[in-house]
Amino acid sequence: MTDSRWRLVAIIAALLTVGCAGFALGAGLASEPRSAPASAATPEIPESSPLDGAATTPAATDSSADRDTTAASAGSEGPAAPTVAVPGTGESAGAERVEIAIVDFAFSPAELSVAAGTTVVFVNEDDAVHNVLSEDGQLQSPDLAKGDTYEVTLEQSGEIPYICNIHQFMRGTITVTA
Amino acid sequence: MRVGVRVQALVDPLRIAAGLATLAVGAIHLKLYFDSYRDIPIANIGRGFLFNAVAALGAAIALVLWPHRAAAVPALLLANATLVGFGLSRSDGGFFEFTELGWNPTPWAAASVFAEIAAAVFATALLATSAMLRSPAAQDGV
Repeated sequence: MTDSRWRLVAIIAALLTVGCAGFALGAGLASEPRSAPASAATPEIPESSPLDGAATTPAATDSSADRDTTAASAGSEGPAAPTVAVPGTGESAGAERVEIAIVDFAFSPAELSVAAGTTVVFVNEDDAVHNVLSEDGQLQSPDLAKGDTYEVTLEQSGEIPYICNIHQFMRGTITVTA
Repeated sequence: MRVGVRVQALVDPLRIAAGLATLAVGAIHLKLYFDSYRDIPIANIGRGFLFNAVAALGAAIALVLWPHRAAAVPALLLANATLVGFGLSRSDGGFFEFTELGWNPTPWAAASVFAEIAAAVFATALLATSAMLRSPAAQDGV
């Protein structure tokens, strides 16, 4: 390549760098969360997912005795309360509190059956921020950083499909039995 | 001091700085890959983080070991492509339907963008200094 062409390469490189850097910085700033999803209208959960056709395998959740007991708030501090989960079955067996871990970009367990009146505690164990959103509005968490929790007591029987609204391939279902 | 000598003195530090910044980009993506991003199931996004780390290592090695101005090009392209991927993942359509929010995961997303911009700037400067060394002014010793 001639010297003049290398000078042209350098100019193009400078323009490319400025453009790409501006695009990334602008996108990062523009996509920062402004308000909690709880205050916004509940968006419709997309029917299709990039994972359509892929099976979701429920995974056992380790119960923890160190979780907060304050209801319906994320990241709150409070006295520890026992949580009961039956590993491998995805059923609460009549327990009052059940934990769903958000780990490795998935809800664990993805399929959960609980009795009406059970408090479900979502715990984000990922470095990435996640949230929990159901179309019927029963689950509407703020954005959860690592370590944050979101608790909700489910009274109405029925099936509640939910997603992470940030990473919409993350899906789960809670079945509330009477 | 002649222009050529002054500019020549910049080449090695720029080469090292570009190499280190490129290595940092790869290291951050490798860390995120092992943290949880390898489990992202769509469009090989997880493997893309690993590919980014490997490509960054190769580009950094080329910068350090290959004393030719063309060695800056892989690092430049990698850094800018990664910046574009970051920006697209924050857009409505996402990057191959993978979306993220703001500067999450913190602080790694911001650190990665900083390293990518640094790598691209240093690589560009390396190309520019190489062009200046060949300029008539540098060669005439003005």
